[in-house]
Amino acid sequence: MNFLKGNYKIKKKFKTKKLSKEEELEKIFEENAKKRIGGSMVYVSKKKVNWDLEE
Amino acid sequence: MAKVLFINPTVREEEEPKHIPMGMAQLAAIAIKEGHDVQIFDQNAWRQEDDVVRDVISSDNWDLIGIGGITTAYASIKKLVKICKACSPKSLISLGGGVLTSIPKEVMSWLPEVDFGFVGESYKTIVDVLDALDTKNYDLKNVDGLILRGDNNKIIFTKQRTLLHDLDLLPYPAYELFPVKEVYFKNSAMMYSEEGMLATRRMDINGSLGCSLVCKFCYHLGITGDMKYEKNKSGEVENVSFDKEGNYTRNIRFHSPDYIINQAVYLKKKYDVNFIYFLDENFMTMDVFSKRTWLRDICKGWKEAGLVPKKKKDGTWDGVYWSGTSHATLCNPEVLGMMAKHGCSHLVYGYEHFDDRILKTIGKGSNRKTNLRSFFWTLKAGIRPIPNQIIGFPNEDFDSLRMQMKAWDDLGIVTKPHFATAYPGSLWFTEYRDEILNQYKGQGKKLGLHDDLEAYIYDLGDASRVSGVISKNFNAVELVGLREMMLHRQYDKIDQYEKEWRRKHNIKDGEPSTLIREKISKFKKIEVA
Repeated sequence: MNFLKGNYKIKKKFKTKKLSKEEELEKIFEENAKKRIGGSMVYVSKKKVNWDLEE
Repeated sequence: MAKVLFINPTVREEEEPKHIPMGMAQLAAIAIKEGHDVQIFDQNAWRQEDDVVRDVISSDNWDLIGIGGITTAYASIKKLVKICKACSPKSLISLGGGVLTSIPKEVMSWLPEVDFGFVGESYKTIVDVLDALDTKNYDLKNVDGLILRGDNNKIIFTKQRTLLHDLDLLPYPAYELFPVKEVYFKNSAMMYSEEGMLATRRMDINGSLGCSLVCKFCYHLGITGDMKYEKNKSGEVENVSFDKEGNYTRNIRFHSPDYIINQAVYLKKKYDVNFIYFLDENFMTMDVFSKRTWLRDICKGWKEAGLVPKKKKDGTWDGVYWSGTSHATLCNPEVLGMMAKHGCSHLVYGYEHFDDRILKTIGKGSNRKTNLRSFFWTLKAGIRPIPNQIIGFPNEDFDSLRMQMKAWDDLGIVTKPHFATAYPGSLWFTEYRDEILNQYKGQGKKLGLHDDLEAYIYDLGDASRVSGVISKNFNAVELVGLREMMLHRQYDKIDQYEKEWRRKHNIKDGEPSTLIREKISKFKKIEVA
């Protein structure tokens, strides 16, 4: 992806983390779910789960 | 030639990027016209992780990295300037836009990575700065319109920059340097009208700068002649100041209708746009100022250029729908009818409130009657009015809240109002700065920031979320709760809370529900049916 746009060419190629199909689906799901939050519509962000939580 | 990287910071992270930043796109176009090498990194559009941002910034040797934006982009800017300094230590880093101009000295002290700032309008300043850098002249003291770091890191202002007289001298914004197809066209839809919702290739035009009105919550940041340089006894500029009660200066500027039509035709030919969103502060100010010729000539030109939209059977259209901003007291049925006929689909009105007691305190020049009148005129013309609403004004009370809800009921308005917010540069900010700082006491230290004012700026969003409260009668918790009940028209719950509030503040039934004691004697009870 070329994140720079200008009146001359930048040689460097920018690499982004390529998402797997599962990750892509999760991203789309997160975006859509968050738009509908309220009442029984609750979303769990797996990336933000603190797995080391001790209770 | 100088090599420049412009960076557009993230704003309204919770929303999709919808607008190419006009100021930055114009400055990029000016820099290119002057023969410089320009790249733009639109982080607001791309929303990339830090490692990608680092890669982008390290990809060339920039003479200047120019970052700019509005105050609500502050958090993103703070992060970006740190990355810029770390990844491109030899580049000069500058900051511009409302975020800097509103409180330049403070922002320069909070962001040590920023070498200098553009104060106010930068159309001419950018040319002078790039000319200087092109000749390896890093002493910018002779360039007007800057804030610099002098000896011993002393912050100094250069001379105030004069405003560009003729906006038509400006090149069109460098739209092509932003991810139009990759990002912006995908977010073309705007839920303000049916046509706005169906727009698939929307782009923006800014036809004018400034506004003749003196709303206390609004800020123009020097682009409408509202900024003054405050000097000390030795003649040194100490700081900038903006509107003060009874001391307003205004400078109205607008592009000629020909320039606007040519720009619209250019966007149609180059991008096949089907919707143009006019970002102007207030269309109607310009129309009144031009003695009602400006919008007339734009509409005439729209028709002559073949831009007036024609609906097709499948719901799409040929031509270009458009939208803009209006004002309750400055519009009339003739102008609105003409605009509708030429493709205007919606007009944003800053009605803010429907209680005259509130409206007469905010400097807007409108009242409940003019709000209602313009609302019906606009609907009758066939244009969707977008009536922006605010609660939490300094003198907001239970009766004024009920007045708002009553108007929503009567006019079919479905809204989640903004909270009255004192943005830097506004008269409210000047007036309530100390009270706001009191609310943020200790927050600067707690968040690892320079001071409590920075904590407030860091917290500022688009006012749909509560931040610094300027209401004399309600605190942040109360305002959020009351708004929630207003959304659901829970009149009974609000009545119930008013009783508790009166007990808490020792205000008897029948007395006005306000803590502003001096106003009580003048209070006239408002009956809400």
